[in-house]
Amino acid sequence: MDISLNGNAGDYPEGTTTGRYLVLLDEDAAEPGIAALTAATGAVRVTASDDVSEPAANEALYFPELGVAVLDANPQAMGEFEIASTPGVLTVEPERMNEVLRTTDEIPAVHTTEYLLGYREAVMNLTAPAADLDDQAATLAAADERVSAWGLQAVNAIGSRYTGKGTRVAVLDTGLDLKHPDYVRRTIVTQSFVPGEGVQDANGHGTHCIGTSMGPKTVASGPRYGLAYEAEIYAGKVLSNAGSGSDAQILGGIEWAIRNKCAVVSMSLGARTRPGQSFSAVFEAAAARAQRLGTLIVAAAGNDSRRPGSTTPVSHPANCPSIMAVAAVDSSLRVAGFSNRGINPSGGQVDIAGPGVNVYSSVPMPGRYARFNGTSMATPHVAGVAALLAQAYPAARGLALWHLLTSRARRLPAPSADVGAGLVQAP
Amino acid sequence: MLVDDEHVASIAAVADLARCAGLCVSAVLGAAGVITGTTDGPDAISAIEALDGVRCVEVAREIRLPPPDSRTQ
Repeated sequence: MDISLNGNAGDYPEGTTTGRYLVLLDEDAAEPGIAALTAATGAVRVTASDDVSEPAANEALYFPELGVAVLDANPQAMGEFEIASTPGVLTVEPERMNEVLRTTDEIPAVHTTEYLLGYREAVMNLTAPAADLDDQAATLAAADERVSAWGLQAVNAIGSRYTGKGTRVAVLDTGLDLKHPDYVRRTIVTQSFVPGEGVQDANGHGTHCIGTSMGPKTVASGPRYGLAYEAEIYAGKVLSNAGSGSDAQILGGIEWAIRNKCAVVSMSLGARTRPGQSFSAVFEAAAARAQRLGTLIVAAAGNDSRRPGSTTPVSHPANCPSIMAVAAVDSSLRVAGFSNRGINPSGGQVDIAGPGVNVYSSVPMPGRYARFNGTSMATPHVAGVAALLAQAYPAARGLALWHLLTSRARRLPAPSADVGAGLVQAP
Repeated sequence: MLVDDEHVASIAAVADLARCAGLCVSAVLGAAGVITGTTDGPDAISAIEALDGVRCVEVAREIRLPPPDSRTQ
C-alpha cells in the first residue's frame, strides 16, 4: 500500500465527530502498528471485531479484513501521535457521525424559497446546452485530428500500451471491404448470414465500424482512427448491402461469435422501440448465455431522438438488460442530439457513452475514409476499448468485462439516462 | 424461439419437436439456445409455444440502417 501521510493524528479539523479515531493499518505490519498505537495513546486491549460492537473506553476495535482499528483515546494523546514515524500505521482520522439524508419535505421553511429559486434556475438552464449548436460545430472544427481521430483522444486510447492482441472481436454489420489497403495484413475471419451476399461490404457501414474498433495503428495518410489495432477481426455480415437484416440473421451472428470465442460482439444496429415497450426475451436470454460463455455484447442505443424537442427510448436489441447500450457524445462531450435515452424500465437504460459525432474511419474503396455521425459510431469505440481491457485483464470476460467498462468510464455532467456510467475509457 | 435453460443441452430434440409442430427450421443455435425458422401462421406459433422446452416464441423483427448516403448512421 502506498498511502503515506506526514504530520500528527490531531491535525484534522473539528466537526461532527464521535471522539473516536479510525486507524488505517498496513496489512503487512498491522501487529506492530497496533502495538505502537496502544503504547502511545493508552488504549489497553485489542478485540476481534466480531466479539464486540461498541468498544469501551481505552479499547481498540480491530477489523482484520479491512485493516482498520477504531480507537477510543485521549485527543491530546492522539494529537501527539506521530504517524510518519510509526511503522504499520498509514493514517489516522476522527470517526464521523453519519446521518440519513433529509428528504425535501423536511427542508426547513426558511430554506424553501431559496431551494425553489434554485430549482427554477436549473429548469431554465435545461434548454441552454442544446441551444448553441453552432458553438458545437465550432468545437468540432477546433478538434485537433492531425495525428488521431478525436474519439481516440477522448477515450484516452492514444497513450495506451494495449493493442487488443490475442482478443477476438466480432462486428455484426454489413461486412468489410476486404480489398481496403488498411486491412491487408490483418487476421480476418468472415461469415455472411445474409442470403445471396458475401461478406464484401458494399454499404460502408460495416467497414466504418470495424475501422473504429480495430483499424490500424499507422495509416499511409491521414489520422489514426482505429482502437484495438492488433485484435483479430471477426466480420459477421448480418445486414445486407442495402442495410437491412432480420433478428434471425443477427442471432446467427451472435451464435457464430460465441462459438469462435469472441470476447466482444459489436452491434451497430437496432430497431426503434416505443415508450413502455419491453425487451425481447429471446435476445435477452441469448445475450445472458453469451455472457456466461465469455462473450460480451455491446449495441447502439439508437438515433431516433431529436433533442431538445423529443427523446426516444433505447432501441431493440440494446434495450436488453444483458446487452450494453451505447449512447453518442460529441467532441465537447455533450449528448448527441439524435442519441436515444433510457426511458423504458427493466433494461431499457443507456449503459455507457462513446464518441459518435463527426467520426472519421474507413469506408470501402475508392472512398477510403469518411466521417459519420451516430450511436453506430459510438458502439465500436466501446467494443475497441473492451478489446483493450480484455487483453489487459485476461480473466475478465462477460459480466466482469462489462463491470470494467462501466466502472472505469469517465463520469460526465449529462444525466445517466443519456450517458449511463459516462464516457468509455481505455486502460 | 427461445429454448429454456434445462433444454439447451438437448436443443436438437426440441428442434425436432418444433418441426413436427409446423416450424420450418432455419437454424439451431446451440450456444445462444435459440431456434429460428418460419411457420404458416399464429396456430403453428401457439403449438410450438406449448412444446416442452420452449420458453417463448417471438416474431422476428426487420432491422434497417439509414441509407448509406445519410450522414447519421
